[in-house]
Amino acid sequence: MSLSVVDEAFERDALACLPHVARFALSLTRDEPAADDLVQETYLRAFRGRATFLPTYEMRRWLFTICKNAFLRDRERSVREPASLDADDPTNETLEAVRQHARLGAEVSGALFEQTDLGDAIIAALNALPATMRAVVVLVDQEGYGYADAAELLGVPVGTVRSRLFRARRVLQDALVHHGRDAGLVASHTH
Amino acid sequence: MIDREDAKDSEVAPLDCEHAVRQLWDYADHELSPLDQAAVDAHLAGCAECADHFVFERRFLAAIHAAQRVRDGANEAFVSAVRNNVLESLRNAGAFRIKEHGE
Repeated sequence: MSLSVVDEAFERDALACLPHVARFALSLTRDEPAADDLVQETYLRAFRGRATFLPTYEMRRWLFTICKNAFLRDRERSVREPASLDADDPTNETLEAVRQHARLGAEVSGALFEQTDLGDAIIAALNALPATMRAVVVLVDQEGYGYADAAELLGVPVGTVRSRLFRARRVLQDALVHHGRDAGLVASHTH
Repeated sequence: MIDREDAKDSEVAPLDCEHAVRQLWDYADHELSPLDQAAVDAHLAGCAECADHFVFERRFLAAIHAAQRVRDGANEAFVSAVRNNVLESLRNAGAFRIKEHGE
């Protein structure tokens, strides 16, 4: 069987992105069997549509878009998250994050980042976020996409990405402080 | 703390603390225009309190980014299993040239 340039590119580039796509799918579903199904669906859709992949596309971004669309199609059957999540001024979240830091004080806030199990605590907090917020954090804070790229990938306005990202960061920061309190680093009155 | 009166002689558009802080995440994510980025830089250069906040938030972002490695380690077996399932699905869909462990 001869292999076209398109097929060769798909084999080479698409499969190289599989760890990223798998992690992205897991961030959306928070459930390994569901993420496994989602990744398979993503790659099957990509394979069937590989002829539409243009050289100007970035493979990882293309696969993320397919993955997100497949996920959203499934989610249409489930309960939507409240639209009010995106309605507030996102910079209010920034102000609150800074107020949180001011309440902690320099000694405590520095110690927060010295916790050996900090990564586990952050992953747990990330997994507890609503899917829409978690996806933005994964794309921007972990995969390194800018706001505009994340917005395009998720099919939402840039303002929505900012709202979700800033809200998510404050929630994650609160979780970090709770974790520090459990570790005895943060006094209860700072809450 | 710096308010607009104190900062009115700055060379770039002066920011008070609240306006600087409101741009914290955009600044940390390099999403501001060069002019706005410079305005925040100028504020931070003269406001130790805000500079301390920004350092803290950058450490926080670095921790979120670093947590990806924890996540990757925990998900290694999952990714491996998914890869095998994807290869099988693609093979069944006609992608015969895809190898067992190819990447």
